[in-house]
Amino acid sequence: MQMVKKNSSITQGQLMFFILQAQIGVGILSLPHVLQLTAKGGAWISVLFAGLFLQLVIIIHWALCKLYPSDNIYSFLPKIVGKYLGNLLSLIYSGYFLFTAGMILVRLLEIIHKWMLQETPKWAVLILILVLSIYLVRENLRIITRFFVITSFIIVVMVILSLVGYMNVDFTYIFPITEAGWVNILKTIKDATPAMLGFEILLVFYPMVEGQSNGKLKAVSVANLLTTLFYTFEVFTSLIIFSPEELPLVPEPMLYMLKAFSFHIVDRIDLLFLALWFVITFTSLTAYLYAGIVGLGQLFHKGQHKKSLLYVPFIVFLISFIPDDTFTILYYERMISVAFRILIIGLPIFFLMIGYVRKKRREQTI
Amino acid sequence: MKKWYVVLIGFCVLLFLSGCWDQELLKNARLLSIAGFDKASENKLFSTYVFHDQPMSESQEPKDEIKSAIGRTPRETRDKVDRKLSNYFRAYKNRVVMIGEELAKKDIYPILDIFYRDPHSSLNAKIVVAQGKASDLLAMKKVGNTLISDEIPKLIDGSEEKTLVTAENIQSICPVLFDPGEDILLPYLTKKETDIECAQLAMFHNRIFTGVLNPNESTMFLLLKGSPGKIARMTREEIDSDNSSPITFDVEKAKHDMQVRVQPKGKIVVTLHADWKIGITEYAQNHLNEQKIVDRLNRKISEDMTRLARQTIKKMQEAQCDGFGIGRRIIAFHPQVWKKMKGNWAYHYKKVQFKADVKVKIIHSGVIN
Repeated sequence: MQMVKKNSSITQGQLMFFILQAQIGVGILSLPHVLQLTAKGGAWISVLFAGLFLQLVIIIHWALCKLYPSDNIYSFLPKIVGKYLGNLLSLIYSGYFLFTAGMILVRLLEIIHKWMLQETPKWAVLILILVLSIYLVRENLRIITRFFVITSFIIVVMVILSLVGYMNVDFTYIFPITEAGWVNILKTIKDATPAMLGFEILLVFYPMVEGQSNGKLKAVSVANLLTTLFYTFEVFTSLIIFSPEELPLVPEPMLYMLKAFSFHIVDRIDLLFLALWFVITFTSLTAYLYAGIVGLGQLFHKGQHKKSLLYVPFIVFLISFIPDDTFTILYYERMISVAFRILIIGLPIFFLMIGYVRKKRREQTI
Repeated sequence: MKKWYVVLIGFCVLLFLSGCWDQELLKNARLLSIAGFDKASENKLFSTYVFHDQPMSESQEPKDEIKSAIGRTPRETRDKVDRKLSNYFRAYKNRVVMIGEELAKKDIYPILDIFYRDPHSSLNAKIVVAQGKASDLLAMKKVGNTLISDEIPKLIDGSEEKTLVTAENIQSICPVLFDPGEDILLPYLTKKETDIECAQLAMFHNRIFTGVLNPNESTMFLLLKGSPGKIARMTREEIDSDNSSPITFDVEKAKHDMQVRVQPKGKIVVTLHADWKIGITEYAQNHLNEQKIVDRLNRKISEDMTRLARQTIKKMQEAQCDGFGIGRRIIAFHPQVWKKMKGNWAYHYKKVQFKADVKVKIIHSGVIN
């Protein structure tokens, strides 16, 4: 068991911002487009349902972490399923985190290439972002979290920028709300969840948070609630700005709508939005990267996560450099979504059951 | 260890300081100001591009440069013009897209696609229809002493404020272009000898130009739609047996209310009700302090405006232009009805029964009675 160092723990308020920043990320730009394809005018309801669904998953994760209050996923897995299988699963989990980080990078690069830097080669942008994120993840959790808290105001600025779009809206575009039918609206939850990932990082950082377990659940739930509301707002805004036939043609509605507005000083608000969005996405990227290397650190470097930074950047670079067309990216995303279903929803329920049984048995023997 | 890092970071910094792939120097760009598109023979496109060149020194005057090319698509003509142009063709400061009447009579989306697709294009450029050929208007080069690249955008801005034309840009028409339940109306520019006038609206049906509203009808449409500019002024002959003297008024406050109802048999009835408070700005008959005269004027102008409203709507129905978005309301609130009408909405739209009335109340008459 790894002892929690006093100077790297975070408070529950910080946990809230950490999860919020990890959740809000790359998905937000294209979310309205993706959801509207199947849920039509009810897309914003799907987001609400997705938030509700993820809340259930959060409770499962929390209950699992509560069984082993001073262990993170990499140290309690060997206790639940045995040393070898546990370590193997730990490796898979840190692989999942790193792969997700790579996927965030892929989307980030794609958007930057499409909207901002068309001539700049991919590797240049990639190296710049990686250098930046390594600089941050070298540090301990407390320092990373402080950065996340400071940059959280950007979310508010993003909301304000989106309000610009309300100069030209038509509320009838969302009607009839149930055009796609409730079945499709519920089905769309599965398209909404990938954009809201990030809470599962709790599995890694639970023991490093100060205070009672109930407070921790509250912090994560608040983060999830804020994310859900923010996403619902952005999806709703896109739905009333773009007509139902137009939205399928626009993959990044949030940016596109801002492109049409210009003020006296700022001509391209979309680029401003993109720059802010970059920070928000960068925090998700770092959160996953950190979660991944903490695992590798515990498995191979006796808890010193910094050491894994000697090779992790190259892996992430390769993961994000290889896909060069939309279809490969889509294939990657499907893999992530399968991994999410198994590793984040399925297995934790299983672990929880085993862990619970073991705990009961332990209590009986005492 | 520390030294090693410094060397590495220094190396990276040097690597990235050497230049930027995406730099765009303004001195290498020829900024497009107005793009005009006309129909050429055999499905070809005739594009006229007006570039606005800022002078290098203060003593020189700014100049316009007009180039044109024939091609199959806007992109092709753009590339052809770029071949004839020093430096690079750049469209990110484009202010107006002008479509010639003949070209607008078929789907206008292919012309606009390039603007929607390119991340650098300016989506807040105005879009207008030109009477006759856009190239003829642009070939004027100057209107009075003003360069055409300056004159046309300002002209459109002015007309928007005077409630003569719709305030649309390339992006704002896009949702409507794709929406089967609503049609766009665009400013219609006409050449008046050595001047250009912008006071009429070009009606569209499903991205196809179908007719023109005259200035009074345009103002009426904008007021009924509820999107007036800063000033909405009309001059009408007061229709009266005793004295027919023209009267000019400003619509100060305009309330509007539109209700779309579907009757059991599927007949659509639209009630358009407008309530205006107006101020008289010119009326040579005077005596606007007498209750009786004001009441009579209120009634007469109301009648006249109701007539104008009906005439406007009738014209729009004939042109199949669903500018009020009746179809949109049906889609949103009567989806079952829409399912039946979707196939030929144009036919059903023509049969929509409009009940329009305008109620006018004079609230002031300037500094004299």
